[in-house]
Amino acid sequence: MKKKDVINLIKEKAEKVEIKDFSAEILSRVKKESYMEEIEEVKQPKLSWNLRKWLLPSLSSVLAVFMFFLVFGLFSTPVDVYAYHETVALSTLSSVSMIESKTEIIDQEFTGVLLANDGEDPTKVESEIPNLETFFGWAEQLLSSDESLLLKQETSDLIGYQYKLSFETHDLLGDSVNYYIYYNQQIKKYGRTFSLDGIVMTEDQSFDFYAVANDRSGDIKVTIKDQNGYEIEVNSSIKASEQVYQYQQKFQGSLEEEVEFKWINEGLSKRIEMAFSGRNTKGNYQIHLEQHMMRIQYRIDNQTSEEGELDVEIIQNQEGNFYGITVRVNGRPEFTYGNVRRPRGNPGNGRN
Amino acid sequence: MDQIHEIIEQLRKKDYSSFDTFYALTKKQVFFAIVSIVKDQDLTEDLMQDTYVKFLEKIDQYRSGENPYAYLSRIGRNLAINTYNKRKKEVVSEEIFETIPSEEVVEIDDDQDILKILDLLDQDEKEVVTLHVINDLKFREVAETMDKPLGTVLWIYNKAIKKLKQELGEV
Repeated sequence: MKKKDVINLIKEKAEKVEIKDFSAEILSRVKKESYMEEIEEVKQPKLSWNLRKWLLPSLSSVLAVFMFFLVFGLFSTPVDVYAYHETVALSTLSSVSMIESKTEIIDQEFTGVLLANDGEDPTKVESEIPNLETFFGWAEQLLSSDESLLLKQETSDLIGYQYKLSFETHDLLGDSVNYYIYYNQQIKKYGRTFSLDGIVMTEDQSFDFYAVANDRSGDIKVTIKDQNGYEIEVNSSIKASEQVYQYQQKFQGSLEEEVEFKWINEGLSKRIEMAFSGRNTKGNYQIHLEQHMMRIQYRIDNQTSEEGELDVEIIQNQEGNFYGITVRVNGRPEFTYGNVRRPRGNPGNGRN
Repeated sequence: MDQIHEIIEQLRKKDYSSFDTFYALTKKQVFFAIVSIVKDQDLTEDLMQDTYVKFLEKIDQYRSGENPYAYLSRIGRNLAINTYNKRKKEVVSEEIFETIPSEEVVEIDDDQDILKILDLLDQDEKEVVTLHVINDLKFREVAETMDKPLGTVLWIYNKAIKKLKQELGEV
């Protein structure tokens, strides 16, 4: 049975229902009675916790920390490794999240369900969403983490490594995700460069980790690899109010895609800008946080251009969590795209 | 739609001469908005009357140009849910009666009514399908009526249709 048949069947069956005529009774009641009470509104329990309100006051402190890192990182001598830990952490969480998205085996039954776009020509963004989805995991964490990732450097508790850098993020549901980087550190004599070599551990996986930084330029390169041959190389630089990261995704040594993203903090505004390149289709995406969802404004260019907006929210039900993506392409009827969302870190450790 | 708006303007002026037409035009939407929440036929009929009485008594709150089907559906739904909250034992809702998905394909025959088909769905799915397919509300109006995000409503709708396709099988 096709979707159209189901709908027609429902309509047809509904038409067959005989509904009694109460018009006379109703008029009789109206004339006799005087109903002065208001139309009753169903009081749905509302969340009193407002993410944005909760988030905004902390952004100033986040910005202050960034500025501290910036100033400290650029002008301090000798090399101050800790000044780079924020960048290392961000590069790590995004790379790990991207690799996990690439390699995650997900239930194919729920992969990429396109909803309510019957009869319309395909939009450009439809074919881009699966690719874009690989960034949702860390975009969630980057936008939802309101402290400076709770970065903590300490002596390693793992044999073979000198140091341990840990940090914690939160996702759209408020659940926390923990990352641990165990590494050894080398600083070049007379030099302005240093390297970190070690592993990254999340709750259920580990990855090879390597970073090299130039203290003069402020640039840092982080490389994360998994055992399947996926490799993400991140080149980053820090500017006044934004951090620019350039990603190269490689599989078994071959370059698959290049992505540039900027994490921008402008006063109370916090957003991610992404640009894809190295493919026939180029796209620009601006991601910012709305209440309990991410809103993405996009523009895609190949032979022609397309602009629009995506709302990404998390839908929870007994079958798991899903990304519900409402797609609004300029000049077209909106529709929805859905897909499973991989479980993250420590469900239940959230704050809401 | 013009006809119904004209009648509403008459009703505002306490001119009830066309109320039977108004009722005939809207009774299906009101009935299904209620019956998708309560199962009891008598209760549904009582709540239908209450819905129209409320509508007429508070007709000044109706904004001209608003979709009257959505407006009436919302009143009916709210009354049904409020009644459900008072009489939980007499109604079926997701919290107390979870529709158990069947592995078997349901055979459709001519006698099978719409309520049996809707009962294949859980409460949210039932309401979304009812409001969109039967009551002809736009998804945005369904979202407003149910106080849910649009994306969630679309998601629920797709799941419901998918479930019905599986449950109803080949006709």
